Amino acid sequence: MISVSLRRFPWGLLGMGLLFLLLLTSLVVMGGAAQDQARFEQLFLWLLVFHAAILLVLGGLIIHQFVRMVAQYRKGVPGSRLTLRLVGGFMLVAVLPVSVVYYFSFEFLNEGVDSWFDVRVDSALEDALELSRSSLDLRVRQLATETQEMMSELEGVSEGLVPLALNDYRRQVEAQELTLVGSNNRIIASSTDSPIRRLPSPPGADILMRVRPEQPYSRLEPQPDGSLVIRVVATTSSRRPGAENRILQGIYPVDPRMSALSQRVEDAFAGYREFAYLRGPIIQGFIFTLSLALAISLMAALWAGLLVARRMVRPISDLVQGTRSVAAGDYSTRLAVQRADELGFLVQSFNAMTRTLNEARDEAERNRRLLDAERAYLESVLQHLRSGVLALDGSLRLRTANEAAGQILECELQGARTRPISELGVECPLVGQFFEAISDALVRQEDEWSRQVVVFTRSGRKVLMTRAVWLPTSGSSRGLHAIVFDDMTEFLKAQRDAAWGEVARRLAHEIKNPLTPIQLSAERLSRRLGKVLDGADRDVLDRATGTIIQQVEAMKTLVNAFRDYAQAPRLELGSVDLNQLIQDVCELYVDSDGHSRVQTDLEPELPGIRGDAGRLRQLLHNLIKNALEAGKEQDGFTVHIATAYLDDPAGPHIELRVTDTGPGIKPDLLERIFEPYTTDKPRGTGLGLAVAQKIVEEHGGMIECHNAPAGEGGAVFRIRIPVEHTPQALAHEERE
Amino acid sequence: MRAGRSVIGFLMAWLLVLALFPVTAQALEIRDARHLWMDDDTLLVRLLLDMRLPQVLEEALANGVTLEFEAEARIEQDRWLGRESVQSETRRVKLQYFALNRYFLVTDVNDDRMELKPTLGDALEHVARRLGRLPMHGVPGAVRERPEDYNMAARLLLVYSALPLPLQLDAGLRGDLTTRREWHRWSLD
Repeated sequence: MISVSLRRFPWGLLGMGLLFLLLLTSLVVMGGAAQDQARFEQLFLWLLVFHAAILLVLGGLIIHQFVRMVAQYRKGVPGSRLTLRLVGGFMLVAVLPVSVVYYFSFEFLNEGVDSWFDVRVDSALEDALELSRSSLDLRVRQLATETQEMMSELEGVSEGLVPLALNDYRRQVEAQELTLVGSNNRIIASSTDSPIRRLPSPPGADILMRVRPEQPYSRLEPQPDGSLVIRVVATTSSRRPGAENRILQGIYPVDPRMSALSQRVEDAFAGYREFAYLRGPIIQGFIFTLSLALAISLMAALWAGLLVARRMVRPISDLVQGTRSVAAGDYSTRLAVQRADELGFLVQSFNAMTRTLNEARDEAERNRRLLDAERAYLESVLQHLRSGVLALDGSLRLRTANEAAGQILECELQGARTRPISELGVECPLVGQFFEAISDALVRQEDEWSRQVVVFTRSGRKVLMTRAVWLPTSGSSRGLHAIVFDDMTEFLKAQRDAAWGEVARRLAHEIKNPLTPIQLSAERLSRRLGKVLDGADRDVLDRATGTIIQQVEAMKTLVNAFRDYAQAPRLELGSVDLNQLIQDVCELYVDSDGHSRVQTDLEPELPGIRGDAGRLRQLLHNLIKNALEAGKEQDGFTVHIATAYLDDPAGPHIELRVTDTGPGIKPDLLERIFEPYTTDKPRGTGLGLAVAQKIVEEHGGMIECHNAPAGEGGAVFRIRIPVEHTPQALAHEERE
Repeated sequence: MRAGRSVIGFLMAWLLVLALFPVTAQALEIRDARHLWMDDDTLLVRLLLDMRLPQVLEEALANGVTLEFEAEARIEQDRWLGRESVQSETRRVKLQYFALNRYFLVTDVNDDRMELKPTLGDALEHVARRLGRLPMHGVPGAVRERPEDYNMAARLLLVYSALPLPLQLDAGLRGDLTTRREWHRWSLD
């Protein structure tokens, strides 16, 4: 479940609002302060620091956001690419107008401030200042001359009259203060226009150093109250030897109007010089302030752009994340609907889609579980079936096989699904034989068929009762062969044994039992009537009773033969050299003149087999007798017996082949030649070949019969007997 | 990222310091300082000052800008955390060019006394004399009784805020004026 269901607190918007509020406040404060120069200067640095701090904060935030955004872009976070594009667009939109404004503002400041300074104003101020200086210098020189004259006049005034003289002079020249100073800066006399306010101040050392006789020192001095005064210090050479040198200092006020005008000119000149001197710093200050304001605006715009872009992209990135989750199989994804616009509608649609998908997935999951349960049940049933079950698709690839199928066909089929059955036939001979026997029906895709398949394995012959159904293609399911087969070998054998046992019992009961009385009766008739009859009657009697007795014997032989066939044989297993056995039997068919119609072609060093020598001997007799009886009237008739050792995929076995040069077996008998009572000989019992087949099967072998091609001989009997122990032989041994 | 943060921090700190603290010219310094008890509760602090102005201030002065210098002396007592000022005395002097008579005018802000000096050197010498004499009246008796517990401190600085604003910005941004406001300290004992 994606964690986008909670509404996020808009910290970014809150911060942006606060920042703009602070900027607005600072602008208001700055605007107010700009009306008052002193306040402006007082606040300017603080505002500068404040704006710089905001600039740094914004810069930090933007850098942080950019770094985060780039990191997200590199990681491929959904929405980061779109965010980057939007922010790039915002940057372009913000930077272009700001750059234009900055450029024109920069030019305007440079040219505008320069236009404030005019050479004519500069020159006029210089002239005004020089005029003030000239005017004041004139007054200063006049007062210096007057002071020097006063000093000369005071030379002749006795020390006692000096204060009065100074007072008179001060009134005459309208001085603020006149002070006569003697040696060591001693004040001899002083006169001031305000004795209460002002004490006489003797001239300083630096002034005294500049005073020369007849060369008064004078200068203009500003006062703390803003007025101007002229200080003149004069002295004369002493006319009397040894007399004390005297210095007269006069302080004269400048006409207030003149003073005010001069001060204003001086202030204006100083202000203009300062202003001109600070022109560069002023421009730089303006540009700096402008740059700061524009940088703040730009960064604020960028930050706002970032926030807006993220806010715009967030639903899209949520959708992308949600889509990825859905693609990954998480259908429980729900996105929070935070907007009422088209994006909100899109989010709602996404939620509806995921809800539907989730329900469909749940339904599909339920169905799948049901199918799994059904399949498991079916597989369980199949696995517990004793019948082999195979399913092949239309291209004869194995789709399903139960355990019993593998056991019957002696092949591991569970792990061989989807493999072609032809491949399996190479690895498992029994499978190959089995499907070779049914391949025609499979290829024809017969709807329903059944047949008995006989295969030959290491353990002997197997009879497989096979039924199959072709399930054609339906909808999405492709065509399928469903094959069910059972190993009927033991069943058929038991059934046949039981049937023939019953036949033997009935023969013994119904036929053999009456035979003895018949025979006895015939013999009694022969004895009794033989004494009273003679001549031709006696001959007839003898022939009749002889025929009865002979036929009874024949019937007894027949019954015994049935009994031997039907009764479970008692095999006396041992190691049998088949070649030696064949040679022994063939010896019996050698004429007195040493000729024999039975020829052998035996493979030397034939391995021994485990079997009952007596029963195998009977097998050979039955086959040889059957052949000889078929060709007894044919000249040059021969029976050919050959042995061979074969080690084919069905296992190592000995093949015994009995062929003759007779006319062969009639085709209508060929199919049931091994069934009892099947014979084309007028005196045959029809049991020889049946017994032969029974003996072969008792030894785990297989016998088959066919006719040789025309002109190449008569009947061919092919017998295969395994070399190894057969389960039947072992079971018989155990019973023994 | 760490380097970026440190640069931002440095810039912020610099701007704050510029705003909060006066700036002193590089060549304004106290060469020597002494004190003298005038009576039981009056201490006279004498400072030997080096008043060489940097070029930017000389140019500014010649172009009508008024400079203000301030000397401050104080009696300190060591505390567990820093120092505590027991008493302090401040003297401020203005220096300007008087264009009407081409003299340099020195004004003691404390008592409004004015002096005209024909050269900048004379003016600065006079400024140094005025600032170098700081009488501290009403000094607590404990200072006189246990002078070993106290220290003297003095400093000389150009009053940065008294400069015209463009000059403050320009000089500050160009680094012509530094924010140094170091105290010269000596023992009261």
